[in-house]
Amino acid sequence: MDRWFLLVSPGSTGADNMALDETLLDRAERGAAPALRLYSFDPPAITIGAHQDPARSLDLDAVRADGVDVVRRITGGRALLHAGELTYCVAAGLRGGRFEGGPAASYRRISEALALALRSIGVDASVSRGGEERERSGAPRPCLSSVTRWELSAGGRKIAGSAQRTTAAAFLQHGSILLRPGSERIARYMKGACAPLEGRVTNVREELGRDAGAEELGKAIAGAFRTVFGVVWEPLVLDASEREGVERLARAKRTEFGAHLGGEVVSP
Amino acid sequence: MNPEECKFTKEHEWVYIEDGDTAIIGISDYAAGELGDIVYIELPNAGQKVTQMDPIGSIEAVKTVADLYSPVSGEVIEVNEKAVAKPEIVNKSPYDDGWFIKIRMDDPGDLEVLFSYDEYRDFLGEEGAGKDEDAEDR
Repeated sequence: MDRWFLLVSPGSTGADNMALDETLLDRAERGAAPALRLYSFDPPAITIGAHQDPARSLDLDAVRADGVDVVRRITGGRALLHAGELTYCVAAGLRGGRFEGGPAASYRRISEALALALRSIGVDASVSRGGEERERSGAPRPCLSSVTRWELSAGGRKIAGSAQRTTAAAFLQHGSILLRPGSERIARYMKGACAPLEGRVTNVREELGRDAGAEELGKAIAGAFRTVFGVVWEPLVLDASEREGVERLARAKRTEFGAHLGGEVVSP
Repeated sequence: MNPEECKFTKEHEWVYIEDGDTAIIGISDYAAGELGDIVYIELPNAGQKVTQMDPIGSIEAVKTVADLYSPVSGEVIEVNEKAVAKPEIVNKSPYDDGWFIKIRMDDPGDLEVLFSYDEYRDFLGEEGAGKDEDAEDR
């Protein structure tokens, strides 16, 4: 059996959430046992990829008009509106067998665990074997607009979107599992014409014909990780310096987008 | 660059030595394949001093951002602007057109801790990198 940390966080802002995920990566880099975190965004927030230029990807006027929280991830991928979802984060060391074999292998194993969790609550989820899709020039596209290799779909439609960061000794993978409609509203905030996501994404409510809350899915995920990774869970408690680090990182993240949105820090 | 004449890091970077003290840096064909389609490369500027194993940039593929570490200490003397402008050449030609930077090394002794080509191949085997569970699908 393998000891992992589990942290179930209350809904929080984009900056606080991304700062905490980065702190988990830092802990894994320093040799801590793997961690799974389950959380949500309150209020809903847009995250953009590590190297995305918000002014090129997003309609900042629309973002500003609606007072939407925007934050940068350290992971790859494109813009995503976190609304009506359960978000997961896995941070783990790369050495020692568990996640050896490169980014694709860890992507696949985590997706398999998440698919098992979704199936256990009745969603017919599968792990996509499709080829990766190259980013093309032209209109900016949101993260959920395509299913890439090792991602989760149900009935051929995307039900979760994930992104990864790899450092020398550890990796972070986080992603959104869609519980209800909401994420498709990203189209309103993309710059230029944006193909609607309707028809290409689905969610747990649509697949089950009923609502499954974050708690139900969270328990299913913890159980599936136990099965797939042989996990024994231990609650994660950050120490004082780690909590200070989270606050410092979150402040920096709020400042970046305060500047992009005209000096105003939204949704603190 | 002939990979058999390169040194390698555990982070899958290669180093080729030119003119005795200039290290040309790139990523291995294994890393390029694992990352998939590379869409963005962030590299240090020419003139920047770098320290062995410190992060110096990152590589973004469709779904993964991988940090890039300096295999040696020294000064960046040239950046491959073609790879920055067209990152897909790293996938197509990781050992030649897809090189990243040239570093004038402070101490060629830095190379002693790096893998030879054969050691790197062994390392890939130990990491399970050669075991493609899904080869039939590709």
